[in-house]
Amino acid sequence: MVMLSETQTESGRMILNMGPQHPSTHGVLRLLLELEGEEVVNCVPDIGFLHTGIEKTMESRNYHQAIVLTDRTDYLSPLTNNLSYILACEKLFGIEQDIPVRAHVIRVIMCELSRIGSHLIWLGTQALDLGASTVFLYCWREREQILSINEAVSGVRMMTSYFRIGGLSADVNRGDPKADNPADRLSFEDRVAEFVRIMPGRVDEYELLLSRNPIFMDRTRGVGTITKEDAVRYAFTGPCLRASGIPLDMRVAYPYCGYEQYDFDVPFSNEGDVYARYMVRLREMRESVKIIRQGLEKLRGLEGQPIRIDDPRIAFPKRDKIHTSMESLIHHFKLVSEGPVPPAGEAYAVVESPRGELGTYVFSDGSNKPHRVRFRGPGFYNLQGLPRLTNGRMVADVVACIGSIDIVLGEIDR
Amino acid sequence: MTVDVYAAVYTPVIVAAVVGVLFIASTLFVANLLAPRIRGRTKEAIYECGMQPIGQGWSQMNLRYYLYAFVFLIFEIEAIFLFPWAVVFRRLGPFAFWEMMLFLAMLLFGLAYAWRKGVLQWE
Amino acid sequence: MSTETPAAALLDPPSWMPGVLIAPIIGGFSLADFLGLFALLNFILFFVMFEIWLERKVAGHIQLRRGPLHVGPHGALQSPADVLKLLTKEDLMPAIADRRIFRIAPYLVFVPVFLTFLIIPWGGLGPLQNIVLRPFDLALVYLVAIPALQAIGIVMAGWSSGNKYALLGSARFVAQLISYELPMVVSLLGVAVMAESLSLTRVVDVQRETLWFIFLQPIGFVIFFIASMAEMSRTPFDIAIAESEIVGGPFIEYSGMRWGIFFLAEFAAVFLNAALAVALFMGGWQFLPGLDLLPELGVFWFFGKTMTLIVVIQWARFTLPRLRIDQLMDLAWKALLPAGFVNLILSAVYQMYGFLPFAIGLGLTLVGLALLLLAYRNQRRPIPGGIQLVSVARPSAEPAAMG
Repeated sequence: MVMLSETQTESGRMILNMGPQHPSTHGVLRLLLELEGEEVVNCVPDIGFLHTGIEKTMESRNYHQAIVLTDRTDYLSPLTNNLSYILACEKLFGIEQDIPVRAHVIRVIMCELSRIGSHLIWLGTQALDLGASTVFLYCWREREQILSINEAVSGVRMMTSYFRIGGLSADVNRGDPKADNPADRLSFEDRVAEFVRIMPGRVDEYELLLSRNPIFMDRTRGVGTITKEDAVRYAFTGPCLRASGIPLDMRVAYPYCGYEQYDFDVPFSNEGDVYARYMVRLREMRESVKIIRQGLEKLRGLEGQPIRIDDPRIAFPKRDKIHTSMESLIHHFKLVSEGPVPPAGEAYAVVESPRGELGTYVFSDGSNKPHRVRFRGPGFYNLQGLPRLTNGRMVADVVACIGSIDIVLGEIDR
Repeated sequence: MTVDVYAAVYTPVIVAAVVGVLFIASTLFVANLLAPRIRGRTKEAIYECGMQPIGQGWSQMNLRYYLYAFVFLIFEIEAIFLFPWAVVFRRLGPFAFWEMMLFLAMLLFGLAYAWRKGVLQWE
Repeated sequence: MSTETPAAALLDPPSWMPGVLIAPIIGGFSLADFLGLFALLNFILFFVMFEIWLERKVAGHIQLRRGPLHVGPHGALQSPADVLKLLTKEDLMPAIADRRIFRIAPYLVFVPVFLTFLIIPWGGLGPLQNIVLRPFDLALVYLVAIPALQAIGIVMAGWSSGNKYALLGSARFVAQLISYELPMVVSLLGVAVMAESLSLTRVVDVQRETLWFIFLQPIGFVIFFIASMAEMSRTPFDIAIAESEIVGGPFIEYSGMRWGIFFLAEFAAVFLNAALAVALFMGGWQFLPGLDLLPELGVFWFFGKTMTLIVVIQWARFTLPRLRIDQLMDLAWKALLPAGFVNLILSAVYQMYGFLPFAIGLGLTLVGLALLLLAYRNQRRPIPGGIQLVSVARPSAEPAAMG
């Protein structure tokens, strides 16, 4: 429990609880604001209201079951969480070099879609916090498409759990010509291509509403500025760091899933304010679209290739073999009931989530359950810098700052 | 103009105000009859985002716009001088016009001075 | 001050009207006036319900939604249903609230709005001409004095709740009020100068004889419109309520119908301000500038223009972000107030020296303002190097695949 000292209360300043039950603290963040009139003298974030013990729960699930829990951390981009955990497990198994290319390409496409989806929520809520309510619903329109793609691919809109150790849970859908919903008649590729076709125009639309809007600029430029040095000190990552002048991107610095074969730019800015973070994220959406286009291009050449590694420790035997061969049936039973068992050891894998560096550390004692899993969630570190952004500014700027660091409490509290 | 004429013109305002008050009172009365009333301590706590408030709601507050308020007061009073002038100055001729231009110039000079002095700067 | 002091609700009561209707009962108050007040109250109630429905529809269609749909045709009965719901909602009061002040506040917020409705010149309807409840000679001064009383009610609401958010909200409201009252007064002065009268009916008549003031005083109109939007506390000027910052401000602790009264006052004020803008600048109940088509239907022309303005207000609400308090004050003191004085001087020049010097002055002012705006925009333009790119083009990547 964070408390400001009593002497501060007696100094005549107002101590204001902002959150956990507040429309613009993005979930259940609680801020203790020490106010001098409208000015914020000090701001103390208090977290833990959404603590669900995900890391601990994972220790009592086998490696396969634990995937489902990763969705629940950063619930706005579940696919990147899946990926981070799965990359760590693959390292543990020592199979990271053997993943089929098709699986990697689909992973990249899905992750970039999920990045766009997450940025859309950020954009909508940021605008909503500043009072522009319409942008929010515009963003939901595009996010809806992404969620439908998620559903078509994995069966679930948000908590996808689509990736598996060694590949994917299933190949992308071919499209059902008899489906009721016209969108479901399209194959995955066509659907994503359609989304990629319209998305740049939609980003233009948001820019039209906000980027040059004098009120928006007044509310965001020079607000919540953090210097390059401070950003590094607070271990900022992701768009927050890049907006402060350091073009660090995990996709480039520590490429995974074959990101090194894609051509894209890493946007960054030296301003370090809310507006810079806004511009960086908008540009990232455009870059993601670029990556998805290249991914679709690659996917065309990988038609019919496997989507899962053929490793008996992880992959199920073929369906017809289960019916005919006793060994396969036992193998299947062991894999389902016990789960994959990695060798003892530890692994850390990092991905660039929409919010920054998302690392997963997995420690194996050689049993079928992870001995310890830990997430290095970007939001937790970005949130630490919030007082630096808000102190000395006004109450209205606090909501702009919270919006701009794009936190998801599920990932911070875990 | 006699007091009676004023009364004739402005007592209706008071009557209208009474009507307005009665309207709200009756609405709230009806609501009172219809609405449930189940008291509870948590219900009667004040809302501060679901947490216990630290310190009182009636804490001191630095408003930061006293100076604005002063300038406002001065301008508002002088604006009242302008109302009668606005109606009749054409009948009074160019003298009244230039007289008031001078007055306005002084007002604007005052505004410029306050601006320059940083009175119109928040904080 | 002129001596016209009509006692009855109607400027020229038609001869068929029975004397009992227009005979004064209390002070200058006749039975017709009471009927008028009764009609006005009902009008406010029903119009506010309609307006809320309209706002939700407008919002819905702006935001790719549909708004209310299910209660009644096109959701038209949604607002009455909401009122019924509010009536049956429990009325909570914080235990630490200053109970008396907490109870008085809604009255002080609603009554000033209601009182200001008295001076609206509705125009003619059939045999009735020029319907005004109270055609005060000092309508413009009344217009400055009465609505400002609302601030007391809001401060009382914020203070008595014993809630910090409410306190912040009411403090913001006062800051806003003292800033926007002045530009509003100055823009009203421009109207007074042009009409040579402080009576709202006279203002409309002068516009019918000459030209709508929106064309003669575009600056004044813009100032009045912005200032009245600020006084209504609507986005982009809704810092006093600011859902996403101070969660409803002064009204945070109110619930049930007591809260509904604030809401009623807010939406009534939207109509009120739009109607006043129409009366002051857009020719009141005149059909088109210089064209008195069917004055018997004046009420409808008046309503048409008012509704247009209301939709514009709603449009702004759903398009623009919210200003911050210091920016709000800057806008009022550093932009609107000086511009308002220029407008006032120009109006005086028009009266004194005729159209030509005025037109030249207005043209120069508009050009100057446009230049200032342009300079401001250029100054705020995103720096071209604001976003830089690190290209990570790989030799293996196919250039053809670039987006």
